[in-house]
Amino acid sequence: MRHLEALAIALVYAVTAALMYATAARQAVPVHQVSAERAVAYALLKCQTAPCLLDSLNQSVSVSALYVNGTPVTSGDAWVCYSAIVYDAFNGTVTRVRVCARP
Amino acid sequence: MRGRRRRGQFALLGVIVLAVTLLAIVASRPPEPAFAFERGPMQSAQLIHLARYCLAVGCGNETLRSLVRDLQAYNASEPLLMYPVLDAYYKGDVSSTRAVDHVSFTIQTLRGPEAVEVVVVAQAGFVLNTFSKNYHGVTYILKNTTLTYCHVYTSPFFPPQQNTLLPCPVAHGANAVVYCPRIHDPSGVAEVKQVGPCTWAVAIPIDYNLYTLYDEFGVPVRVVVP
Repeated sequence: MRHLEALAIALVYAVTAALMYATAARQAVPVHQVSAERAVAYALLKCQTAPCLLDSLNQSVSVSALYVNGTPVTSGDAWVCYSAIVYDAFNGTVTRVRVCARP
Repeated sequence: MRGRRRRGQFALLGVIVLAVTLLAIVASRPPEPAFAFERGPMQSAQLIHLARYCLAVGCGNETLRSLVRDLQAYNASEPLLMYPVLDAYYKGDVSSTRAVDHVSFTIQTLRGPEAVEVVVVAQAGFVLNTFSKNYHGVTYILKNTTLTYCHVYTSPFFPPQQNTLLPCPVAHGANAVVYCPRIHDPSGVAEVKQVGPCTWAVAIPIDYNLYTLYDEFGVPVRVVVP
């Protein structure tokens, strides 16, 4: 009987350890994501044209995939994506830019 | 002896129930990374970008609200991660020495309604002197003045800034970003030279009390000289 209890306690210990590992693995990787989101925000503040925005993004963050008006410019894994709508006052165009970053 | 054995059996039963529960939790939550989206700064920047466009194309309340509706429609299909925009308004004001454009958005954040604002200020000084300039075969008499021009972007998501050294002639809070855009005259008649942060020496034709330059975002810079 004692052996059975010891086995049960060991089982709980193992399962708890597995649960803790799973919880740790599920933690967000916030730094990269926040940097990608902040990079989009900074580029929107700095730019009023699509080429300026794309330049700013390429300089400030490593993107895994980039889409302009739905067309892939850089193909890759679309892990977490952010979009920006670029309103170009100089030629009146509206451009959809989607930036995807890896965790 | 019998009671002790029974207590041991209850403890064993409890341990087994706990183990099964923990196993069920582990099985239901696969060990994959979860992503935390942050959306405040990006939406603020998007609205500020939209406000500048509105000012550049000739902003009014109808234009602004139409642009916001379009942006919210994009938000339905693109990951703009926007909070709901409750209201948007534009107000322009021109006095004897300064022109102010004010665009304000009210967004519903997790803290409640909060404001994202854009204020564009152009304030001219008195005429310092005049001089003549020949441009493309035409002689213009230009008057020299100083111009203070700045954009003030306010958002509850922007971190506190060190803006106190910038001579922007409008009151702003700690969470406001003050930006001094480059300005130019597309016609080439006026002369524009930056002399300090947000401060410009400009020379405009003497016949004009209100002369329009443009900044790097296409926003008109109205120079009102007394």
